[in-house]
Amino acid sequence: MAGTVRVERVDAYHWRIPRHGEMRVDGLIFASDRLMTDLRSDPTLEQVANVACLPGIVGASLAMPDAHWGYGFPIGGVAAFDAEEGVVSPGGVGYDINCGVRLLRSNLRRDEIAPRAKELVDRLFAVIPTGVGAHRRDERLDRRDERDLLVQGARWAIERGYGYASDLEVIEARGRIDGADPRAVSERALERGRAQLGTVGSGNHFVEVGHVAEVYDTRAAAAFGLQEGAVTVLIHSGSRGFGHQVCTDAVKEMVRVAAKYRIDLPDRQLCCAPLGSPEAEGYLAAMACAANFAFANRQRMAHGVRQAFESVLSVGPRDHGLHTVYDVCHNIAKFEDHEVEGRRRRVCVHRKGATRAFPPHHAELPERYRETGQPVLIPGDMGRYSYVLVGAAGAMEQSFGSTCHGAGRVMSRKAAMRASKGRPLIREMEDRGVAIRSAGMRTLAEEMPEAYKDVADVVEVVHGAGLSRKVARLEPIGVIKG
Amino acid sequence: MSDGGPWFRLLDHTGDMAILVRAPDLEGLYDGLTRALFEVMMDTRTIDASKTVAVGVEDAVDAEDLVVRYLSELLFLHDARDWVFRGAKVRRVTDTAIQADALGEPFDPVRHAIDRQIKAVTHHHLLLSRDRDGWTARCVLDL
Repeated sequence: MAGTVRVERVDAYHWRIPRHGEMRVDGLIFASDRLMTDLRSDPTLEQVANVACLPGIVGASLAMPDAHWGYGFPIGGVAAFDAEEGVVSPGGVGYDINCGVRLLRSNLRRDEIAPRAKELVDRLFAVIPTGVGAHRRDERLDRRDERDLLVQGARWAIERGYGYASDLEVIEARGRIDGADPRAVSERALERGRAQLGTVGSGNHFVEVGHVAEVYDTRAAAAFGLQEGAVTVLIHSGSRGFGHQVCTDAVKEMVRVAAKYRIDLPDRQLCCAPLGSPEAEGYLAAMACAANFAFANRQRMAHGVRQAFESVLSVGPRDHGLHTVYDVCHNIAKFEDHEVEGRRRRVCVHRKGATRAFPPHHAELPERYRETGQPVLIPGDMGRYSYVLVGAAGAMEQSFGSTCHGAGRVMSRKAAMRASKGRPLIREMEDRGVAIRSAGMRTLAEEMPEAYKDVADVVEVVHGAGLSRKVARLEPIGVIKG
Repeated sequence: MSDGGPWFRLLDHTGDMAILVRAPDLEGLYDGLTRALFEVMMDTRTIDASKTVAVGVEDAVDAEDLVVRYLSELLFLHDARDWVFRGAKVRRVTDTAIQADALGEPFDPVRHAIDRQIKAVTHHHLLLSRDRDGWTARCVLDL
């Protein structure tokens, strides 16, 4: 799919790449005029077109407004493949399988916490390992435990005292993707995962203490337990080295079998296998293990957050009321039923840097959110704000029940390093009222707020396009980074 | 690096990063790829290259796949077993197989500061070419 990709403006929030060449469907991009300027500046649109060439893709190859140049699939891409005739692509899920976000709400008020933010952040930094290759010296899974965890997901952690049973109901897929089979996982992946449960990792991963700065939808906010001024915690992390190895193993295998299935790949990183084939089944069983690892990882970290609050503030669980609002995956492939061109079809939806956003009354929603719709968690950059949205009917009509996942990078890491040179980033963050602890200064520089799009611009598009609606804006008080 | 040895650069990519390596021969190219991979994560001048770990790939699909597979081996040794490397001595390399000794040492938190994580080595925009001056490889890393 070489050459310049032609994109047409449909309306204020939609752009279309008309099907051409090897494309089997159109490309559809959700973006404002301003965000489209960024998208045109790198190969994101070409990547949307490349995904449209894969066998069995239905509807359109989609890009969310936070999309940016990825490797193979764009980050911020959504693609659905027919369950009978389509494919699964490990690159369409990404290396950090079930990277996702968990939001905790609390009974605590911002005024109570702000004066102690530094202390709280120091404590979080002490109890939740962060940074490159962060391993837990204190906890190492034995073989049997790790295999149980891969099948049970978040429940495994809860049964060992890490959290409340009530957390399960408000985790996507109840914290466990079906079909997980540890026999499909390599020894290498098992080895990498053994000491990484309950660790944040590096890059854009974080644990952030914040507060509800503004409520846009009082009914939905009340259902989510969010009041203006209340303290919140966001956890952003995934399946760590375990998931990276599962994807590495699967890409190796699928590069090998591309010729066998006569799949012509515009980019080798789009390697895939037909759904139902042994390679696809093996990947999906291993991917489910990695997804469950990530659910358990965020569950374990949520326990660390509660411990940190209890120790710094000398309060108990009833006082702080740190309950899970929701936990979403934004790198995953899932079988779902969607209406495509007037027909109900079973499809394998790939969300790579995209969040599920089911509307009210969807059968997969927990009872407590049946009337409101699914909470959608959209972290911004570390200095500005994040959003809580709610799934809307438009997502089912336009995007296979999906919406954006974050701000999306706009500046390369090297450019961010250059732009931040000589700047006292920690003091700048403190001046904004954000206490920060980071395992490395380079991470901090590369993750500076200006390196990202303004998440408000991204959220305006998905709100305007009807994929999800704004519920509340969260602003940070303190953050720990890798 | 100079003196006819491998040369490398780190390249920009919006979300990730790429390495570009040139060397007069294939052995030098893999030496340079090893150094460049670890330079993305840390200052490789702090690595003492006095120990060796055997690294082998026998069944790559082609020469491009071999680059990804070799670097993935190094990444595994780093993430799972805490090794850091600053080069490699290649014993044998073909289009689909390599036997090498990676040169480095176990990670030492006192002397080493690792400040970027590489999740994986990708096939995206992978380049492997040869001209009369030698070999060039470009590889995009998922950070």
